[in-house]
Amino acid sequence: MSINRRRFLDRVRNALHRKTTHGQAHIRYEDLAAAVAPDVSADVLGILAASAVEANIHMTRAADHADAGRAIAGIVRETEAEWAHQDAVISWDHPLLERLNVKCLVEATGTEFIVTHADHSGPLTTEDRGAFREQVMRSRIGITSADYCVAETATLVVRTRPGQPGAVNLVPSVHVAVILASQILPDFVSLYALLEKQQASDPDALAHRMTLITGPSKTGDIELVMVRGAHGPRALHLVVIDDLT
Amino acid sequence: MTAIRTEQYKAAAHQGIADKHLQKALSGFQHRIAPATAQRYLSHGEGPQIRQMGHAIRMHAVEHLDRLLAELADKIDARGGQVFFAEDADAAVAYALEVAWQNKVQRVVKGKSMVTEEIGLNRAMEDAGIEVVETDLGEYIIQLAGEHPSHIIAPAIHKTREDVGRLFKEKLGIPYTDDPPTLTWAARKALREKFLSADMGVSGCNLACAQSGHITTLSNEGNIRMSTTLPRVHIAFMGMERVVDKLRDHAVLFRLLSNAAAAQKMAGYISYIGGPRQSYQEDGPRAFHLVIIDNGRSRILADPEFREILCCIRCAACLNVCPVYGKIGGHAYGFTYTGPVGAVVTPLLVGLDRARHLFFGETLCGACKQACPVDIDLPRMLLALRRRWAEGRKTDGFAGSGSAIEHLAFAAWAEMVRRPSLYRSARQMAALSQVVLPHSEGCLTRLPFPFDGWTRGRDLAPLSRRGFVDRWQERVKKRKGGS
Repeated sequence: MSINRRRFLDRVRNALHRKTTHGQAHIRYEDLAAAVAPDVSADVLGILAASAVEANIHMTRAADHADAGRAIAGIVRETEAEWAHQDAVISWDHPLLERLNVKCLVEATGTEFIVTHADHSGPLTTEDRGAFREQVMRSRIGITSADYCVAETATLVVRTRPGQPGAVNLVPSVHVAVILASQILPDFVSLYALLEKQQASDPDALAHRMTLITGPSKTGDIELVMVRGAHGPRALHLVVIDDLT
Repeated sequence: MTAIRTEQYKAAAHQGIADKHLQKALSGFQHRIAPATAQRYLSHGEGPQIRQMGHAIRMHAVEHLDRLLAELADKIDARGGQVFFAEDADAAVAYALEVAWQNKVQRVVKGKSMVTEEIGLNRAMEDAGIEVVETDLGEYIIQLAGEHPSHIIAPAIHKTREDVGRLFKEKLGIPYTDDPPTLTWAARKALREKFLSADMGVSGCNLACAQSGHITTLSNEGNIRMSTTLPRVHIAFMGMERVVDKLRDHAVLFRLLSNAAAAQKMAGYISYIGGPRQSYQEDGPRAFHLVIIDNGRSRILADPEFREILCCIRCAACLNVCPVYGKIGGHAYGFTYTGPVGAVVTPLLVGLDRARHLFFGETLCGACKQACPVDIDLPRMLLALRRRWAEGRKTDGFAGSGSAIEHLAFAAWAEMVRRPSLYRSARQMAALSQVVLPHSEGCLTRLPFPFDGWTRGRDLAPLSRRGFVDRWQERVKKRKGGS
């Protein structure tokens, strides 16, 4: 432990020796868990559809995997390149996405379809990373899945894993996310209850990076006028495959 | 530290009030965001008490800071990140420059961070020959204009679309337009190139989590994700209080923060960052540094009366309801933190004497407490600051030098009220002599020194010839006579 860390934390500890009577909460921290019970009875698909509208997300409900694949091909056809060099579509290497048959449908339209390379045999090299960067930069659409989707706010929960880099849902002009209806959680409280449970059994459950995405990139910094497409994707499409019925 | 201009509060406030653009922008902002935020607070399953829950979570974290910071640092260490504990602004800046030098950094992209503004990071890096690019659209506009942010969340709130159009025409060489989408996309294009060519990304930290060992960043634009994903080095800065104990604490606080900062249900992006990229990761920085900054915070922590201000989550909801901020604007506060929270935090960081105008300038109307997502009692602390300043240097904690004239006046007053006959004759004398003072519509318009400050901005009702005691006695006499 470094000297400055010890000195720093000693100073904090000394400061804490004096108890304060100001600003004490009416609610005890220890009692909070009981006060925030998750809502498990809700119609999550209906709530998600409403939240998606509020968050400017284009949500499509697909009856099955093939239906989802066709929906994505439609999005690819309708999305024009924002910048001249965007001639490709990039997708995570993900079992759910593989089953959608999007590659064939997209390539049939004459657009290059890139699947992120995930060679688990060894660490990635500088060349691998350079190639990925070049690929993601010339993609106009990035296709990913997500671990969960929170119905209350239409929030996607994405963790970085091999073949599933975050840049795919950040750098391209449009982000398409595909999830199963069974991955929907009712609210934030249930999401964090689940994350804590996972954390308890695996200290690295959250991975080095976890991102919660709610809607497309946006800003209101000029006179509070909402503009979509500040630095990240201008549009976010959410395709939900109904695996519940 | 960044430049401290709190002494110029009065002059800067007058400037703000005279600025028609600013008045329009501020009133529009307050009328739109503040009511929508209040509505959002009522929409949660937990009920309106969610703000008190937020308070309990923050206070718990502040009271266990030593343990939480150690846990956070250990977990980031274990993942290959480097944690540096900085005692003050200079130490934090020196560490950042060292990291930049070791990594041969020439260009830095920054996500919005108030604490880097507090420590004066940009200036120091620029002096070291490094190009620093602010990437939040509001901050970018301010940087191009060579100004400082005037609002915690909407730094360019004082700029009109025409201002931005002229600025971008001059600095980015695009044709003049006052269309916000066109202007936004011009910045998107210009900054995209900066993201791709930058060597280091700088971010703040909204609320780290000790249980999982991650910092978090919130944004709507995606600029912080870009800054922390594309460059090869990421350095994050956090005030030492910006941590919570458990993951579940985020479930409450991130909803409240989104409501409070932008009247949103949920912020666009929340990123958990726990270290540098792994060998399997295609993207992300190869080095991750976290700088935890004290810079006067442990002194605040040690003071029972002001510890509560460390619960603040920097949402700016108090700015959006403050009648004073709404008129004078952010620049008048003369330091990084503005509005009611600035009026409490700034004096605690830079000294009560230097920044006393800030806490005397607020109205104590209480709107800030009601708007606060974590129910911080700002009016209580504004009053406490006034008292500490007036009491002079009696204690070893935060104190001010007070006013000698005020001390004298109150001592004289105390003597006088203890002697009823003296008090009565002094009052009668004042009532008689006030006729020579300037009058208008039955009110005194100017008092003599040392009371002239009171009438500089308002009129005073004159003293009555007969005081309360006289009248009371007359009344009692009459009653007795009548019965």
